[in-house]
Amino acid sequence: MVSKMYRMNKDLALKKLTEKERAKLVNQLKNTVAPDDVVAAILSHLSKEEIPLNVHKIHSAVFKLKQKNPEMFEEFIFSTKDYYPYSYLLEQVLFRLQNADLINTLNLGFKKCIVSKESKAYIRKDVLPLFGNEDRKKLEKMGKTFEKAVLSTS
Amino acid sequence: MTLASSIDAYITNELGSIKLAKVGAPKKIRDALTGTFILNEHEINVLDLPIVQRLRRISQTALACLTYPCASHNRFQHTLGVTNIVTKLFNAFLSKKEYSKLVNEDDLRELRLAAILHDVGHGPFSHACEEIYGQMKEVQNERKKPEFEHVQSKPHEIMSYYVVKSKAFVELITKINSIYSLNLDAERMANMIIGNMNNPKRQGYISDFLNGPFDADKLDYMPRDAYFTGLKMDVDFDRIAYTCLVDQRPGKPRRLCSDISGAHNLEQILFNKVLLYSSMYNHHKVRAAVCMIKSIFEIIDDNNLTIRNRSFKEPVDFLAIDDYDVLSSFREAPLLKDTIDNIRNRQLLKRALVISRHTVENRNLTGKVTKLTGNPAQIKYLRTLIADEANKRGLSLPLYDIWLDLPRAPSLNEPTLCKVRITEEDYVDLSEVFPVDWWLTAYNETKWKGFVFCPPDKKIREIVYDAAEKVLKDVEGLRFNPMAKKEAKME
Repeated sequence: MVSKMYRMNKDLALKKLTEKERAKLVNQLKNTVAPDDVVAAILSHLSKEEIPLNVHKIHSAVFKLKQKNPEMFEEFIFSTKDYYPYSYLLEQVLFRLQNADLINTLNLGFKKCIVSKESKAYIRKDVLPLFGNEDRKKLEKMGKTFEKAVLSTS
Repeated sequence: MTLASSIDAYITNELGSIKLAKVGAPKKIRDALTGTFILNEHEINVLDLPIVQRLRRISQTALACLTYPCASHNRFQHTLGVTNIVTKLFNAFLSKKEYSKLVNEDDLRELRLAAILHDVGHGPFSHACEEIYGQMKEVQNERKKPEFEHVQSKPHEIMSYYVVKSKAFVELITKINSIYSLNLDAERMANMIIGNMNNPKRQGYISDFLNGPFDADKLDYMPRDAYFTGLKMDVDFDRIAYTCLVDQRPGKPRRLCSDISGAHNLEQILFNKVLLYSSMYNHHKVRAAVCMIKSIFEIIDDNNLTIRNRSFKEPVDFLAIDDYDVLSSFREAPLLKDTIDNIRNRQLLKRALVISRHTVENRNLTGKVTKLTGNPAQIKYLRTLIADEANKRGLSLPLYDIWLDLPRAPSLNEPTLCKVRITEEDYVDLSEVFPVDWWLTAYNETKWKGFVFCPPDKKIREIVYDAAEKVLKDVEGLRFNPMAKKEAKME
């Protein structure tokens, strides 16, 4: 069944999963909270549909949120040697959210980061339930702080 | 053992028996890409160390040579190229009268040695193995330490840093200083490798030559990888070197930046970067080969095997071997034979399903899968479910022959980390001159693809497609259109 040259080691074949094992894996996958979920949850609490697409401000705002809520941003590390606190992970997360159409940064002139009503509704329905009540309250508060920071003129 | 202490012990063992002898004369080295240059006597001592010579046996672009036949260049060649380029950059900088007091000969000596050493922390197949040891807790913990967080160090840079800071290496530098009457400082070189600018004796622009937004490392690896793959890309290195400046505004970080007249050359580098990612680093065949390398280390881990008596439970083990060891490891561990034979005979895994903006109907849910990037444990759960589902349909696949691959998009931080001087007082981000980062993000978004890989037999691919489609729908809710199969070239 395998092409002539490709060698598949039958001794290493995966043992059949039991229903319990399968359910455990599915459960773990469904309940995974990733850095992407934290950022998406924060963005779902923006009062407006768009914020300025300013990388300095966006990274700086999340950096400040991390300082106040380190437990929510454990995986985010920020360089502090540059002109602004930059996080490679945050850059990747924003790309993935863009790729999933949850944010839109690719608008004329690249001036806005748009989080549409539909995206917010999706995040509230599918992402926020991953968090406990306490964390959800924190995320809501962080959303407001984040918005204020990226809209500030300084 | 901490990462630092395990590397310290390893380097003590590697360098312990080395007797340094004074080298009689400098050497003229020919590099196919950057041209002929001189290596000084003390640099030859360092270049001759086994930990540097090992880089000859570490391919620069993992198994890209199985897709691009000429891409068999190695880390050693890249190391020499970076040494040559950092010198050219430095000398162009020094030729400007206003900067002659900002740098001195010691800086260049240390930068050149740091260039020679900057990749000694790489494991076999370069970034392929970095995807493995980079996830280990020893490295993850280090990345959060202030000295590394501060500069956002990559795993292999942290490894190189600890090699250069190891007691045995510091002693070796002390001997070199004594033989050649030099004043080299291993700690400063280690900091240059990670791009640390919090060094009171040296300003940030010094480390930017080697590890900054447009450094000698990038200026070598991009044209080198393009040249050896046959991809046609050009970099106007001379213009970049001569338009290079230091941001000297009061209160601002003293970083290397560019005059506005060099901006389009920097943009050109970024275009090249995204083209390299879409054409080579993230090419489906190249990624399939990376997955097969990861399979080797999974088999080793799951079955308590060893290569050269190393079990690869900790990052330092990856310093002890090279590509040759991995590809001949089946002699020591016969269980690896099939996977290694497949690599040696270029029998690569093939695509069974493609995840992209063109293949997923409900795109919002793509994020449920892509958020697993960088989380190998979770990805393994999904692979297990897919393999199990395929086996329920009559196959008997090993987990090691099923991969869910979510390649990283290239970072495009340079345009916001690099300033461009418009006038003496006015500096702006490169991205303000032209939003090259977002322009290229649009390109990346269209080009980005994730893959489910499996053995190449058509029937197996059909079954794995069905299994993957079912699992990704049941677990994550993703709905695929016919392009998911068509893009995998199955129809």
